[in-house]
Amino acid sequence: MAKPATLPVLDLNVLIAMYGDDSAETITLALSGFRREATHYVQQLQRGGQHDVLTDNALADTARLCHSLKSMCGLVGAAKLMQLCMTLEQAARQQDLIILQSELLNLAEVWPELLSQLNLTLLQHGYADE
Amino acid sequence: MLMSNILFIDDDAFILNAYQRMLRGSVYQAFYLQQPAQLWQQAYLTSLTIVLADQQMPGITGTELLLQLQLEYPEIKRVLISGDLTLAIKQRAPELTLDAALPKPCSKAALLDCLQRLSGGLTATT
Repeated sequence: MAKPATLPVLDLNVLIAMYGDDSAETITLALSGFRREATHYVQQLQRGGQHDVLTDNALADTARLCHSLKSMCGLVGAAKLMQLCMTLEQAARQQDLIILQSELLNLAEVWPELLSQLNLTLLQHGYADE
Repeated sequence: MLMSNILFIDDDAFILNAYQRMLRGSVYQAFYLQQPAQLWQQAYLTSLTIVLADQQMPGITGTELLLQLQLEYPEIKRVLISGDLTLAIKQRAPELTLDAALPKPCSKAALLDCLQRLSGGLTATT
């Protein structure tokens, strides 16, 4: 498995292959929808990680959020965040708090990098934020 | 033209939107449901030929829902979609039979191939 640092932040070829469509309309629809949903998921993950004590419910929530976000990343080619979600999900399921906390810190770097790529790619494809 | 009525069940709106986009212009009449519990109230339920359900949903798993469907409407074909297919299939009730299983996320090509196979060779190109 590739190391997160070597993975692309956003690979449009994956999105195009998954959707079977390379039109700007599909690319902007997919990326704007992903940006909206992923922002919500990341906020929830970061809120959950701020607690000193992670209960079983909080760990289950983290695993569930990462599982869903991982699939969304796979659809649009957000490989780096997808890899991070896989690690986070596994750590949450195994109740490995050390890896969990360390990977949540990585999220604070990986997400802004992806968000910046999303904004740039959307702009390049003619998408204007409302 | 012969239409095949299919239903996607997934609590994630983004994923449902992706399926909708992938099937745009296809021969399939597709329905989308975010709340699995609402399946039984849908007027189109008896017209369905294929139901595709995500495994991880709040309140009920895809395999549990598909088992209920199998008991109530055995003629409807059942497809499980999961980010961890091996685990989902391993954990399913032994009496559940699946017509197909797809990884999540799945590509348009994989989705159309599966639907075409299950609907008896309907051509579904856009």
